[in-house]
Amino acid sequence: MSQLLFHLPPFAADYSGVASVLHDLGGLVVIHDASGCTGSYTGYDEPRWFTSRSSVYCSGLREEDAILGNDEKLLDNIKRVVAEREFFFVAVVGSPVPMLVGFDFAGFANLIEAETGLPAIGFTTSGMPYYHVGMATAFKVLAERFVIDQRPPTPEGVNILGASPLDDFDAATLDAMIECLASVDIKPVSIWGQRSGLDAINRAAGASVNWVVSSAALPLARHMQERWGIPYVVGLPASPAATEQLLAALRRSANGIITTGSASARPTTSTNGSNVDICLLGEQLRMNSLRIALRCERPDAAVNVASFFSWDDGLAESGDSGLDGEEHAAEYLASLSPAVVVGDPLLRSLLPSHLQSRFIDEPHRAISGRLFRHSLVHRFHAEGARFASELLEAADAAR
Amino acid sequence: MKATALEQVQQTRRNQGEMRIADLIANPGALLGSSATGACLHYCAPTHGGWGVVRTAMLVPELYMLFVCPSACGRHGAIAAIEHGCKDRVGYLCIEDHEIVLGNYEDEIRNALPALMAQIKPAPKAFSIVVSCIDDLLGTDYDQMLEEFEDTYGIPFRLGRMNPISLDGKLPPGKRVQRDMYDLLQAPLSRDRSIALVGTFQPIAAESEIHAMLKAAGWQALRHIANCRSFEEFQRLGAASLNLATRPEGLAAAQNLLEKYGTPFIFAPTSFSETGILRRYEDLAQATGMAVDCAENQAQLRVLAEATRDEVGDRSIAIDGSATCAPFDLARALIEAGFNVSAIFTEKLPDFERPAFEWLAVHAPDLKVALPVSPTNSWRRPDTPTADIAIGFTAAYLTAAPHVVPISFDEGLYGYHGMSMVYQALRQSLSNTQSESLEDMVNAYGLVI
Repeated sequence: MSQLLFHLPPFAADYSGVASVLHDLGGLVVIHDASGCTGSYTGYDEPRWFTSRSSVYCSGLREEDAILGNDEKLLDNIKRVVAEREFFFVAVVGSPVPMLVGFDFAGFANLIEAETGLPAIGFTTSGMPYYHVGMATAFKVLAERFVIDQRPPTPEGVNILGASPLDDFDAATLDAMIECLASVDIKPVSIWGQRSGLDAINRAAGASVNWVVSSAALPLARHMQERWGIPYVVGLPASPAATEQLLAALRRSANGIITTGSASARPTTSTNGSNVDICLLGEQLRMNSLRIALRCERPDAAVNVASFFSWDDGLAESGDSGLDGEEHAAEYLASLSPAVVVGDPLLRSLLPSHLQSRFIDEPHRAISGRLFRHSLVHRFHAEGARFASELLEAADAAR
Repeated sequence: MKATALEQVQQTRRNQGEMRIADLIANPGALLGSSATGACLHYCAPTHGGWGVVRTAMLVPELYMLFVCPSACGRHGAIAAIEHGCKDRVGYLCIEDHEIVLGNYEDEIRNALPALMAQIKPAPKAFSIVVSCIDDLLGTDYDQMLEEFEDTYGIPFRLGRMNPISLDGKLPPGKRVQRDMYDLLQAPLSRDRSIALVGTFQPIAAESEIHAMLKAAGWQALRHIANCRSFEEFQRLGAASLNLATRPEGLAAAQNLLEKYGTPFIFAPTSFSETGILRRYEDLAQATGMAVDCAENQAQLRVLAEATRDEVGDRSIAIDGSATCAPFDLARALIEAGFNVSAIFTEKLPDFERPAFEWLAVHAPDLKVALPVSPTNSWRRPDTPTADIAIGFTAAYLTAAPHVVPISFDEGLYGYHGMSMVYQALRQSLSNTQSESLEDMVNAYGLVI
């Protein structure tokens, strides 16, 4: 059913999720659209674009081409670029018009493969689902097409799954995460979401554990567990204590002591009977990790998580909720009446006027795009603990 | 027949999205225009964009826009609307694939509108329902629904389109949005001695000589939509006796007002060279009866040009088509004044630019003309500057020029004073090295796709 957005902007779309995942992999990525879809990705959703040399292009789709099915033009233009430069693959990413005219992405990818000799992928994105759907699809396709089954194992090697700029993972954050891993002698084999090239993705099946850092990567983790038997650990190092737990779980999994499961994202206590109410609005796994950090400070903290995006019931507590639009979000907040709400600054507008909740900003690129690009802070380790203390103080003051 | 070595070089350069202007003169379509841009994938520089449909339409005071489209189509305009402080006048009805396939999203609009109208405070004076590219293919007829809404709410309802899929057509989104905006003007009860400026996003600078020239000829005002504070005040534009389009985006609006209300118009696009400015003023003189005696303006501009040239020296200058609708004429003006213009980044060669284009081919044959959307730009973008000064954000990005002249879309520029503003901005750019990153400048300007 259609959704009315009175306060919020539409969120990052599925094609941005796909393009973002492919950005660093050395492929030729073509968003099949007129102009605006590519522009939304490059201008608003992709923080790397200003310094990027990645080959992400717009197909320049025009009315006549769409109506007459002039796919030859797109094929010729792709071949022209392929002739100019070396690419590892070609991806054609969908948008609303190709969806409407029933563009055959799989067939077109076959055609590109035949004409260029390069692996080619067609993504049937439509601009209607949000970015996490595109990310999850792209991860799955990469795993199926590019991860090599017969691989030399990397003992104590980890794949970091889901470190996307759309979920605000930046270079400094990734460095901090890798440093964290190094402290317990775990080495990254590949990073899914940014930085790693296709060679690293090729080797991913050799890792001994997967570290899932965003919920959009959970399907990938499950797929890799099923196919290559790689266990996974879910969570972010959101405080010193949580970091310790997480690293211990990663080490145990890497050493084959446990074969699956999630570590720090699991709830440690029930929310019942608490006197602190904090509602965390955002990417589920990130907010779950922040909840862990809050509970490290105050074990009986009543904290709820809600998200417009990828949602996994297995990671949810009672009272958590996936959100389905502005109205639902406002109703949810009204029903909780939390002392403190944490979320992207634009979500502040969803607070019902009768609520006295204090709102604390935590920008999310997939919601507000470039608006708060200078305000992104990853709440890891000591910073996570400091932020948790700040939230608890705010909640206490509000009560 | 086998290509000569020279032809091969030219072909290579075409593939790379750039050519010497002297090589381009015989066949400008090899690099410029829709046939050239249709023959390549499009690179989308971070500086790509303009005012966009939302920001442009928001010039109409008290207008509310409801986009009815897949959610992705609305994202860039919505974020830009937040940047420009007008998101409270834009809403989105995000439709799903099954509603498109079943063709029932008109019902969704009917269902959503009452709740939406109840929320909008203050109540809008005009309303635009904007559809996106997919509607060009669906061909939905909105007329009856819009009439019903007008009856129910007592304000004008219009259909708008944000459809870049029609960019190569006769009515691309940039022209269409202006036509639709000015279509909200009611039939004038009487005319006054004013001229309405259409096409530009900002009024011509108050210091421009054009105001005094028109006033001397008995014209009361040169009105612009950006100066209208209410929908009522906006309606005064309809009383103008003449519409003046200074950018091509205003042409469909001016033509529509001619056909609807008989308001004559003149197209006199911004120019920078002495020849160009004089030609525009002569055209304006015919339409307005104003006298053209610009000797003093010309003399003052030459003095400023000389002082600026002394400061700029031999530094190379790149210009792009986002700075002005007349980059070739601006290049001509600068070269005639002794500046070193090395490159022009543009996709178009409109008819009004032909004289400057031809002049440059003769007098500056090595001037590089480059296609900003050429896919090679993604990997050939230089690490070290290929120009010293860039006029326009895209030229700045694609040349890595250390000095940026942040002129966009001819805002405020016209006539001799307009060129003097360029000189002043050139001088200022020399003292503003990297004080602000290009990314911050672009974001602060709020370019919209």
